[in-house]
Amino acid sequence: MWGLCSVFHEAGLPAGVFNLLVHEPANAAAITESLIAHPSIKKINFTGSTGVGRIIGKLAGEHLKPVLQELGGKAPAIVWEDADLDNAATQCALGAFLNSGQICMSTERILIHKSVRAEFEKKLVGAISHTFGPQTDALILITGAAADKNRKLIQDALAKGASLLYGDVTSEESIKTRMRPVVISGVNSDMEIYQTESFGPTVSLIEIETEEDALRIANDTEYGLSSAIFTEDLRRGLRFAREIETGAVHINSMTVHDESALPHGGAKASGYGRFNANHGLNEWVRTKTITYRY
Amino acid sequence: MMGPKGYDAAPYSVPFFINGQEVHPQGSFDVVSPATGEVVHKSGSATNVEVTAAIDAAVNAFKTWKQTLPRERRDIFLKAAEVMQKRADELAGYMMEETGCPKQWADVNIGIAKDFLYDMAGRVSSLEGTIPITRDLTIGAMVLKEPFGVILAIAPWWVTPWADTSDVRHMLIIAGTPRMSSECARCFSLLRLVILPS
Repeated sequence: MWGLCSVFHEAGLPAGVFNLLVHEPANAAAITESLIAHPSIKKINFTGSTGVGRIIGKLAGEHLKPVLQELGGKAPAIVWEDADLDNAATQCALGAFLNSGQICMSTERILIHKSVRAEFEKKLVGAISHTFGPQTDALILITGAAADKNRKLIQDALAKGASLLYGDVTSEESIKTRMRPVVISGVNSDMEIYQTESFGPTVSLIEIETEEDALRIANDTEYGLSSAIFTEDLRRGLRFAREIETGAVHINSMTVHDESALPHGGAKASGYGRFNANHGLNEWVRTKTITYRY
Repeated sequence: MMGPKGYDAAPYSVPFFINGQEVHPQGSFDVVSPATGEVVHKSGSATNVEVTAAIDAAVNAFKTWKQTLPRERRDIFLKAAEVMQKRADELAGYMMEETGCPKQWADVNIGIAKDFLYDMAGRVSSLEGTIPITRDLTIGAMVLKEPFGVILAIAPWWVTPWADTSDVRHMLIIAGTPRMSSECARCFSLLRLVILPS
């Protein structure tokens, strides 16, 4: 953050255009509220958790300030029976575990077609071992609490009948913030992890057999930021894509995808407003209508 | 800069930027590496004193920043992308130190951030207003696109250069330029607040 601000100043950005403050959690409520309430603040952007987003949204609403929010996600990846399973496995492994799973677009649920489940599971384990296996350092989470949360979600699911496909939930690493990838299968809606965003190195496998089931589960979440579909039938892929309530659908590539030419933002509790391209530019201007009599 | 840390016994504290100057507030807190659990440096901790100073600086800067031309802002963005490239290893180092990510991921992030800057530089002159036809031939109309003014952008401290640049670039480069009505270019000033996870 300081780095970006420093880069802009070195590039000749005039003084006062880009100001940067940091505060501690203890001051969060007071400082955020006084900023949002300040009459000179005209619009707000918040990128972060859905929980904090709700608070920011309420405060902004009270002061009638527009907001753009980019919040959490519970991205599904549907792997259909005709998918290129090697590609699907690699993309699901990367989508779930890049940056230790701490990306708003991270893959949280893999919806695997029953007829290719066994084969896909093997390939997924292979793909994870290849990139994130024991030959590599354990992944690092921002806080120890995040690792604890992920372990608890896994334990809750296992206690309720899920099975462990990859990883070791009891393993202890050199420090509390480190955790290795865990994959569980047989996840259902009784388990906490079904709805809760893990924002960490865990991913759930759910078996599906019909398009209806796949869509129902893909949409059975408060979030809607990103998603993926793996199929060699582009017609089917597009049919799925139209029915998922989300900001983005990536056919045959991972849920983590953000580039300058494509609008980025959420549906439902994943937020509102769009970054990137002209969509992004238009977020920060408002129209003014002027009429004149000749 | 974070660079000079270790020059003396006092731990280095990451400053704020207010009105183009690095500001070291009275309060500070430890920044802990999630990779090692050790304090890597400190960070300034804001109070209402700095909040007021930052807002005042932004309000004041907006008066002249909104008069800059798209090409001037474009050039600043192109230069910023160059500076980001030149300082890529330094920036990757901060990210690795503070978030514990591998170099490869830090490099990917900085690559995307740089692309975002170039992309915005290329788009800045594309924002246009319109001239709709009204219901009365004797009444003309124009619709301008004007910047909001001072923007508050909030993100967790660990947010990556990718997301960070993603947030900030639009607000900095925005221009309300209905060319046909010769309205001059305008731009934002921005107040960036970083929050810690609660």
